[in-house]
Amino acid sequence: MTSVTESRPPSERDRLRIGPVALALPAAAWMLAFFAAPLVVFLVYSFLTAKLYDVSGPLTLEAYRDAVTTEVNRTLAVNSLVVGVCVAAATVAIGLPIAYWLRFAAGRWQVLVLFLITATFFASYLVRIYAWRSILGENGLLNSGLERLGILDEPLGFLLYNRFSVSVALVHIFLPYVVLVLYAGFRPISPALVEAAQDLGANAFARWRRVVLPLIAAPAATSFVLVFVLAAADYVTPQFLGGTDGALLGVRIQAALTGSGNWPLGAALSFLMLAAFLSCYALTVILLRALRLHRIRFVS
Amino acid sequence: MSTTQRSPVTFAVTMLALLFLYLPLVVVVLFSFHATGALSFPFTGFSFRWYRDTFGSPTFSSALQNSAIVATSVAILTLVLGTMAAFGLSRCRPRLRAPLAALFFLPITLPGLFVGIALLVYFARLDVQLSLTTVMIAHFVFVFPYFMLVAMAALDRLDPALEEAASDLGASPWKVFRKVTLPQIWPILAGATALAFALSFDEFIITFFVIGPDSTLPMFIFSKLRRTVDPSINVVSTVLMATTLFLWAVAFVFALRAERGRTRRAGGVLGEATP
Amino acid sequence: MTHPPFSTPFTRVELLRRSGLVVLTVGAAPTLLAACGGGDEAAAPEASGTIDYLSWEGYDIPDPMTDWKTANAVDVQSTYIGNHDEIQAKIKAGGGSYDLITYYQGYKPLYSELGILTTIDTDKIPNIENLFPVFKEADSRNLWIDEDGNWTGVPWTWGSIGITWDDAELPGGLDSWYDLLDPKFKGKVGVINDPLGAFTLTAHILGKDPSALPKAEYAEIEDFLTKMVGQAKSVAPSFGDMTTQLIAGDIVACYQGWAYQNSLAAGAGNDNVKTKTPTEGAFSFCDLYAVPSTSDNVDTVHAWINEALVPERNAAIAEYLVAAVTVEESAALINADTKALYPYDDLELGDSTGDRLAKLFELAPFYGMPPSESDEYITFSEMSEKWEEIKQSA
Repeated sequence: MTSVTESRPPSERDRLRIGPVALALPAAAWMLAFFAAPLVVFLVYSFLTAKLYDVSGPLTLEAYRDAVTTEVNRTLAVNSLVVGVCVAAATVAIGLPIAYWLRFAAGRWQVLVLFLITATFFASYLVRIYAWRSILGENGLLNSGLERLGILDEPLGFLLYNRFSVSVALVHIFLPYVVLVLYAGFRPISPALVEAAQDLGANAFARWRRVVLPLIAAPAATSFVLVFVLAAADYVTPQFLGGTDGALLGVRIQAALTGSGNWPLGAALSFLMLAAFLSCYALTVILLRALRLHRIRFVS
Repeated sequence: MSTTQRSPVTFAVTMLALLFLYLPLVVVVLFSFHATGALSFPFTGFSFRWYRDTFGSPTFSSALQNSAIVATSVAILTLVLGTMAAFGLSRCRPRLRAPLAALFFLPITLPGLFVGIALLVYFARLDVQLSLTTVMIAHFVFVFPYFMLVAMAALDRLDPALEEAASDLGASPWKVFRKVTLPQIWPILAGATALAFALSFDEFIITFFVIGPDSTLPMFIFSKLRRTVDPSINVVSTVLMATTLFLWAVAFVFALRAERGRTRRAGGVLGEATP
Repeated sequence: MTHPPFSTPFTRVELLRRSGLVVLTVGAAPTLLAACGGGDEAAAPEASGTIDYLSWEGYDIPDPMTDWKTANAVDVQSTYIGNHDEIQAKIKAGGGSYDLITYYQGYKPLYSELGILTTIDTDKIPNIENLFPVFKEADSRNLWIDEDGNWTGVPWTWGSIGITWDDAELPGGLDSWYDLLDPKFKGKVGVINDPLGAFTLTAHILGKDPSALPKAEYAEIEDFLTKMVGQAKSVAPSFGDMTTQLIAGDIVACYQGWAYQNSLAAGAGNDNVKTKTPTEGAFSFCDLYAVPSTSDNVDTVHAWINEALVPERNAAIAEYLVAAVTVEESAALINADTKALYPYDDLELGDSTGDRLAKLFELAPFYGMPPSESDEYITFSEMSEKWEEIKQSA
């Protein structure tokens, strides 16, 4: 604080200092009670013994052992990993050009297009799921359209009920989110930089590789990991679009809780998944730090 | 300020992306007006019958009402507690900042599945009956970090010199807040509140686990999805999309106002400052 | 009276008064007793308030019960499930004050063990007399009747599983469950995420008893089910969703179909969905209304159940659900289409409708479910676990 503050009477100074904590207290209490505490309780449950739709007794690693040794869980975990990575990669790969265009080439259209893209973020999660069913199905929009145009004789059966359809729907869900994050990442970058590179003779590829990507690495990496985490843990999309091929671990976790009533197993699977996610976050931070890409600031 | 370039490739990608994003949604809205019960092409004719059916359905009305009630409560709570918390977080001791920030922002990084399931188990343990109240509690946890992100961004952009000047002139902290800080940040807070309402209104992933016998609009859509689907589900989706789209527009407009206001004010204060 | 009667001077007035009181009391006794509820008369209680319902969509029979609800000012708040296990999961996870649930008879042992069921007060449901005799016998197949003769559920509808198919794509349908395994149906068969149903049906087809299946014999079931799930592209999360897939043309026939799907499809504008029982038969399911331990409006629920057993009402319900009647007189009241679903009039099965249904239940039985703990037989949890594996490996 400046000298102005220090010259005030002590009682006022103290009031300023206690203030912030008191202000943050209600929200902090709520989050402690309804976010932190439940997670702790849930963690404890992962060490309890499962009884039919109930838990009991001694602390044990049974649930974890069960979770790790069952082959089904391993298959689903791999599925989740693959789908998560694909979805994250696709959204970032598509999001980068969009954010670039918005920041550097959109001009007057920036606000409108940004609004339009991010508005789809609110287009109800569930709606999209069955909307994609009616597009990708054998009698859906895509197939009937292509048949009508004479390009196909038989409908394409591989568009729906597999990892592909799950991934398409998840990309549809997370793309607006990524565009927003990347756009915010692009904001502080001056267009003069890119122009300078252009003037110095760099082609589009070189401009991207040497100027844009390093600047955007941190937000891109963060959104990649975020989308990966959220996509891998999805439990509704696979049920309606995934078929037998595109099942994800989240469905199993949800079934353990609301179906077979095996809470310790659900908890164990959840925390194993959580540990995997935390490692991904940590890895990203470490990688960014190592490549010295985590703190690039430019004045615009 | 920004010079625009020509970049055909990124332009093409953006346009294709817009098509990709809007195609399913347009199909949904289109079929809400379908004359028959089919949800596949060809489109045979326009009719409002599904709208009539849906709006006449008592389960729909009660779900809509419940969603509105929950979203309003969540929005108000988030606004009040969130604004306080944002101030608290930005002005507290550096040592407290990291743990508080973790507590406030962690929910965004966790999938809704975990938050929902943990709450389900927690409420069961505490013998709390699932109801709209538990839904509201859960929604707050989910929505709060988003509000905080926006609010913190707004507070970061505040010019501390203005507040200090006001204090030095003898104004109490509350008066400083009311007369100096609030006028600068209220548009962004209003936008963030609209965002909070929209997020709560549309929430499904966590709600699925903590809801009791009363339904919300997304839960209503889900139960329709589990039933054999007819265009009434498109109607409900259209209503949901229209509402949240409107709110997002409101939030967007407020955010823009805040941007322009700040630029204006930065020039104005320098000229207006008089003892 | 302080003095012995004969030593006290009675006036004529007093005598009259006393005898009058006695007469009054004696005459009032039956009325008083009845008012105390301890009489022989069984009567449905007054209905009022809200019924919090938890079960399948459709089983809250909104249309057939509309006038009763209006007349009694009863409001039904419904929570719908996608599969049966959600009922016990929701109730055990602190799921609020549900007043009315249904359960498939096989679930009775599990639900009793979980403490979900309460004894039904049959005095409050006089219409229980209207049921077919086969539903009232306290034999082992009628799981809703305890060894002590206590009822934990009331049968109000039943049906049999069959093959549900799209008649426009597959005219006439299929005659055998094994037809679904034909390579030409690869990717075109509907399967639903119902572990117990899939298990019970497969056990029946292979001639085994699902409630007592030796662990070693499970391999056959697993084999059959793996092949069947391999014929499917997706395991539907609900019957409604499976019907949606049928209408959309993603599948042509369903393993473990249900006649209610015909009605669901018709509701969405498609009249081509039909259901029939193949030659190997299937299993029957009896759905029972039950009062869970969480109920706080017990009387109204009893009144509801009683009303569902009124002959005209039971007939209307069967037509609404595309299902069967449990009330004897209702068999004559249902329309031709509903009657055609089940062999009420098939003389080969028996002399009376009651006999015929009893015979039907021998051919398409009400099965129990696997035990929750056993060294010899496959258990409920083992069966559920294996179902997850089958879904993944297929």
